[in-house]
Amino acid sequence: MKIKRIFLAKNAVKNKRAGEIIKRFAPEKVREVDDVLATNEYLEKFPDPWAEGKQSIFLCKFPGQFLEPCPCTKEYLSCGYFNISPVVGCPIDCSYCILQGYLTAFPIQVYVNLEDLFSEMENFLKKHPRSRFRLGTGELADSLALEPKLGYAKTLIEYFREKQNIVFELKTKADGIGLFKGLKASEQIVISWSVNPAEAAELEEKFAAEVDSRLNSAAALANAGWTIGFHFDPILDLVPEEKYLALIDKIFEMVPARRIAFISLGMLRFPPSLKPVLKDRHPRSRILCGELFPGKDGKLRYLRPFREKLYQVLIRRIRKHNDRALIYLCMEPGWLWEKLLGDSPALIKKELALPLSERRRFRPE
Amino acid sequence: MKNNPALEKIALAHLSGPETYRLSFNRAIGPLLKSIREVGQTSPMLCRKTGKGLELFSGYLRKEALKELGKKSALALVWPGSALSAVTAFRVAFFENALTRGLNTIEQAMAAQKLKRLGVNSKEAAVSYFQKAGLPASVAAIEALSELNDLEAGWKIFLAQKQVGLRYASQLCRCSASDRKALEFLLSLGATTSQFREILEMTDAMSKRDQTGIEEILSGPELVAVLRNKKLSAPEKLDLLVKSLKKMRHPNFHKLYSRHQELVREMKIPGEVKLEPSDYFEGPEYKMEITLGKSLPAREIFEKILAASRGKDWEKLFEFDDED
Repeated sequence: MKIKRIFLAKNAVKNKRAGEIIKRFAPEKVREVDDVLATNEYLEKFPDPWAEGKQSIFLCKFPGQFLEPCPCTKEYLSCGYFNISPVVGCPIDCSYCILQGYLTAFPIQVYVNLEDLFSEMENFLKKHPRSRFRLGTGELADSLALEPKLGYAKTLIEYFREKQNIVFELKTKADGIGLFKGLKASEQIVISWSVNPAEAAELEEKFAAEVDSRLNSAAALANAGWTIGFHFDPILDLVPEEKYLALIDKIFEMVPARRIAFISLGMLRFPPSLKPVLKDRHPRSRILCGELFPGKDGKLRYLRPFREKLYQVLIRRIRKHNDRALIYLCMEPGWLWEKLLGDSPALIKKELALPLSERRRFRPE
Repeated sequence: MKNNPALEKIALAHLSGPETYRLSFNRAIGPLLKSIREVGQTSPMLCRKTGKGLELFSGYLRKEALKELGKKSALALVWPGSALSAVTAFRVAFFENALTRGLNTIEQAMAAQKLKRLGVNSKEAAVSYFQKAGLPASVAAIEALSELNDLEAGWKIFLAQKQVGLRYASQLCRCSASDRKALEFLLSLGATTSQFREILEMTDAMSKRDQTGIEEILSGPELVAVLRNKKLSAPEKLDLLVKSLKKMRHPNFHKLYSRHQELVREMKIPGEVKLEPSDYFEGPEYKMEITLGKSLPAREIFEKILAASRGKDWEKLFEFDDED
């Protein structure tokens, strides 16, 4: 999607990186603003400020912390992930995206002070020299949707490939992989795709690349030596389970198992506060047709026996292709991890933060 | 000071009241009649002088009440011709009504539409009018409100009377005319606001899920039988309809819950014990509530629970095999 306008915060006017980003995106308008509130005020005049915000970038310096442990959700098991967020917001418009209810700013916020992010990272690594971490930029943003114009993915890859105790993940629903041309593959960098069967993606993942294109990109990068991940998340009950099984088969047909770092499974869940947003912004969505009930964290979910059964079927199929595939669950209880995955959550979490060659249990042949 | 309004006694016969400004919908005139009868007119109507004579812009209900009481004249605050444009007159009327008696959803819809006709865009309507009056105030809300004016009269009255908010009013508006027609039983049965919301929400979700119309969903034999049952009162019918629709809306939950009830029966768990799945079967856990009283044999109840827990069905409570 085209970026129509860039809002430039006063604190970033003289920033060199901000100037380069503006040049590369060449938007119709650049507006200097005091802060993010001014961008909201501007975008509120449109009937759907969120949609307009997805075509807008707010460039500013971020004074806060870039790195944070993924909060997961209360009462469910965390996978031990860390979020690093130089970008917050996304041009893709998935109906189920919780950012619509979570973020308070309409435009995509791009923080130009990457130097601060790196120095924060250095301090963090100094404090934890022996620990292993898995972190990525794909929780509050799509890691590749604004690339290569943004230029952050390449910078981050070059930085993290040198960090021996980190597995760095770029998570996306886009298909543009031009930025990887000329970059040397690294085992510590995982490029992962969130996937859903085409029928569900067409309905619920507006402006995302077609699923086949995502898989083609994944295959191309795997063939170039990169490590790939897949997230079946959120799994939706809009399509029969056979569609998910066919998608698993297709993934393993296209991407060699030895290149797949992990596969996550997570079924749809969202806070009830997202319901009105979903109704207003995505009237054609079929998400709310599902049988959704509040879980222990208050988020709406499909019934657990139904989730359990579907996970079981999907895990069986993945393991049929590769019995050493590292599978984990997203925002599910620990007892369900143990029951369905057969290994201790602690072991799974430990190996998730290791490059494939260093793993003991989950190293596909 | 020549632009200030003056309090005047005016002849009702000479007063025109164009619909441009009217902001009352489905307001009961009775209390106002009673009040005027007792103490007379206590607040003046608002008028402006135009080339065509005196024009009323706020106080339509007062005018109707005074006429009904046979009054020939009334007190009015009258603005001189050049002092008040049509937009400003509407602005005065809007705030006089919105901030004193409040506007129901349909009156808000009328206001949104009238502002549009007066050339006020949605953003300005949102910021300069609705927001200041504490009403739904996004551009999208103003546009959704405007659409409510096209609803059928019966629905407008219902939405106003039941104080249905914009979200659900708008959802109803998005339904096809035939679906709204099918939902009209809610009007005749006198559904409460929550019953209206619940039924609309369930039927709307099912129509999307099953890719069919609400009309078709409501023509199911179980629902039709309830609606046609002459022995049931309106509240009973509504109650049964909600229950049946819940089963249709959440078939998997219904199946799980029926299985659970069946297991509880088979395990011969005594009636004094309530065994319920916690958080909609979210965990492999159940909540047990036991009612004990002086005359109830506590030992017997506990023994029955213990016996049940040793039986083969107890395990089934926590496992769902393929047949389930």
